[in-house]
Amino acid sequence: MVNVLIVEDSRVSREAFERILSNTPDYMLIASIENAANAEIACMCNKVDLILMDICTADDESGLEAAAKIKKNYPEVKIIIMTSMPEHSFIRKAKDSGCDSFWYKEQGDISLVDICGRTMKGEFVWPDSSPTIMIGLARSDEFTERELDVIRALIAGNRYEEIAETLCVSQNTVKYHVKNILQKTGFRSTIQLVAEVVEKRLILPKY
Amino acid sequence: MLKKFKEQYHTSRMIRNAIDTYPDGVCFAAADGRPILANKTINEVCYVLTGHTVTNATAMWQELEPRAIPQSYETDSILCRLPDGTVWQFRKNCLQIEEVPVIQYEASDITELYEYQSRLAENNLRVLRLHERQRDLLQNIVQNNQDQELLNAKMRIHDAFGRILIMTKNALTETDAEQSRFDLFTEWENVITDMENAVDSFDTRESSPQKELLQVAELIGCRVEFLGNQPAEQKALLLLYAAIREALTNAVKHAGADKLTIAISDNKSRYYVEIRSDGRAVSLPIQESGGLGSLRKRLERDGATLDYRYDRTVTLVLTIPKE
Repeated sequence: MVNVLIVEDSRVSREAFERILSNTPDYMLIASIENAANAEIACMCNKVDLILMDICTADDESGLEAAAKIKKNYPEVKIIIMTSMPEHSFIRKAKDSGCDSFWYKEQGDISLVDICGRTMKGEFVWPDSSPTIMIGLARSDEFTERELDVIRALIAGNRYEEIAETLCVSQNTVKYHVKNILQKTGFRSTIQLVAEVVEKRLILPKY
Repeated sequence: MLKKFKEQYHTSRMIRNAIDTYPDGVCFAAADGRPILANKTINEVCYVLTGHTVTNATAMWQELEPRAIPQSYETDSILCRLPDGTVWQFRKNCLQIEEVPVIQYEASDITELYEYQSRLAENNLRVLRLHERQRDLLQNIVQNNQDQELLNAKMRIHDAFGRILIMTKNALTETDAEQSRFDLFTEWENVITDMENAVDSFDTRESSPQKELLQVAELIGCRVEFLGNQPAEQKALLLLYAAIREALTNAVKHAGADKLTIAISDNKSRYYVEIRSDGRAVSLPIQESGGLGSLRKRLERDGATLDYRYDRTVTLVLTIPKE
């Protein structure tokens, strides 16, 4: 029997996952919570085998940060990171946190029960890439890592000189990247770019 | 003698003509303000602004200062707008001619430049406001994410609902489908439960930090008791619960506690919180690394304080600002 902890702030999704697991005889639900920061405490009971961890959880708490702490203190606990956000950096961050598997709630072609089963057998189940979305005229996978860094900084409300300082480049280099991004997307201003990127969740700076 | 006088006269006339045709206003004055040479333009501009030509350059400067465009006055530069709408910049500069100090006053028509600068300043202000709005929007992004996830979940239910309708239609038209009707019944039950949850989720948007903390504390065999009223402000509440989580983890892990008491009081500006456990005595001093170190940083970043009191066990003492 696999003891499962669900960390999911959306009640609809949480209860759907609870129902799916309750219909599967191999799984026992230990607790179902909304805030990732409480997950580490729940692991202290030494009963948790598997955590289904959402990334964006209640009270702004990041499932990725919570997963990293849990993996450090309880490495035997398996963690499946779940999200419905196409944020481009989530897969890399989840790998850095030491998570075992990654599941896209909406876009994935694998069911929850399948990914739980494969993860518990010791398999690492990861998508090849984050879902591709259109930002203006550009596909999200057309942006370079540096361009995504610049967009992230723009979203945080930084000015060119601040971005240059943060990324340790000159202001002209920042302007060059911005020009390329605008050319790819066909947008006329960075405001338009930022609005689209945030609306489509390509970048979520808080996580 | 007459010839020399005529030459001097002609030279003076030439200098006067040259300086009068200079497009900007210019005036050279002695240190006491007495004008040595002032051209037509500066006299005209000065007349429009002060009602007289340059009789004393120092007095002219003093008369221009109160007429300067607001926030444009600097020590050696004044901007004035004339009734015809043109903007003039007056500048003064000290020169040394044969070791005698001479003050040079200049007046330049900078109307076009001033309009560009004003527009640039307005644009900069607009950009600054947009940045501020963007930062504010970012603060709401978590709420927006929750809404997006809820919407996605509802779309999923909608899809499931459509699929079951088709399955139902098929089941009703088939004659030998007892098993599929049973499966269909289960599917209908599931989708109805999901729809009920989706409706309820409108009423239960706010998560309850206390309820969830009590739930996980119970999992690890620790009872949590609250004394006093909890903060009404969301920020203070989040800081309080971050501290409780850290205290709970440490009390159970290092002191084997099975009860945690949180006493909260407040005054006009701050909350006072004491978090104590019934665990074993711990060895001093406390190493503030990892969790406690991060907690202190988070608290202090938001104007809260963290302290300890040793009374057999460790009590965390917090003050959290209300604003």
